[in-house]
Amino acid sequence: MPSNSGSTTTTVPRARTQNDTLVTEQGRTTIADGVVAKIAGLAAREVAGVHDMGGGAGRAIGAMRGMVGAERSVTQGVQVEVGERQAAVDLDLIVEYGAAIPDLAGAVRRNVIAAIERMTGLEVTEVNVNVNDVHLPESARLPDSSGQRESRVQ
Amino acid sequence: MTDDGLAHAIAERVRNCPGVSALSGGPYGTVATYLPGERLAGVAVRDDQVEIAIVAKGGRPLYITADEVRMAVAPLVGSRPVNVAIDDLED
Repeated sequence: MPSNSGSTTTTVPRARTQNDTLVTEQGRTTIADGVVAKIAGLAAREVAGVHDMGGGAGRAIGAMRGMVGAERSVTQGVQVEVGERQAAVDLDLIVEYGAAIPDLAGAVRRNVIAAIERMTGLEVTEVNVNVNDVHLPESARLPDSSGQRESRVQ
Repeated sequence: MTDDGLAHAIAERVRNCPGVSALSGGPYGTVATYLPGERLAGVAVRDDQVEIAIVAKGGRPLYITADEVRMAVAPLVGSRPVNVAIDDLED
């Protein structure tokens, strides 16, 4: 199993197994990785306290794509493995400063599992949440030291 | 029905399913029927199975969309299993 670095250990309700939703006698339904990743990315971003998603490199590329007018990808910060009946998800989050990270990770996990299971019929075996960064509000930033501060005296 | 007609009839029924946004070529564009002067992407009629690849609409369970597709084409395909691949979600 993947390492637990950055993962929290909030328990999730055990997924029900739907053995015959996707693999039926009349034929199989296969769902592409990209579909599961989109659903997971949207579900994770829905949760208040999630500022953005992705690791350092992914965010840099995403920011650049944003600058040149390309659409920023909803699947940024999402890796998935999809089998015939099950899916596993890894998420990279940037959280808002002030969020209780274990609570937030649990909420993200629940929302992602519910969205994937309801929308695809796949059983979600695990959602690993990796918190990469915390986004500070403007007021919490250190005063910048470039000498452009307002003068203290007039 | 000839195979050409069958593939077109299947494609027509799939496009009319409410949860289907479009037909898709499948992985590497391999789900297709090769017809004279035309390549029909998203439907492959084979002896032992029928493959259909779609771009689905979001907001509804995808397995229900897949079942609707399967039911829509069932009268056309006989006893062959219908394997539905959902390649993408409409944005």
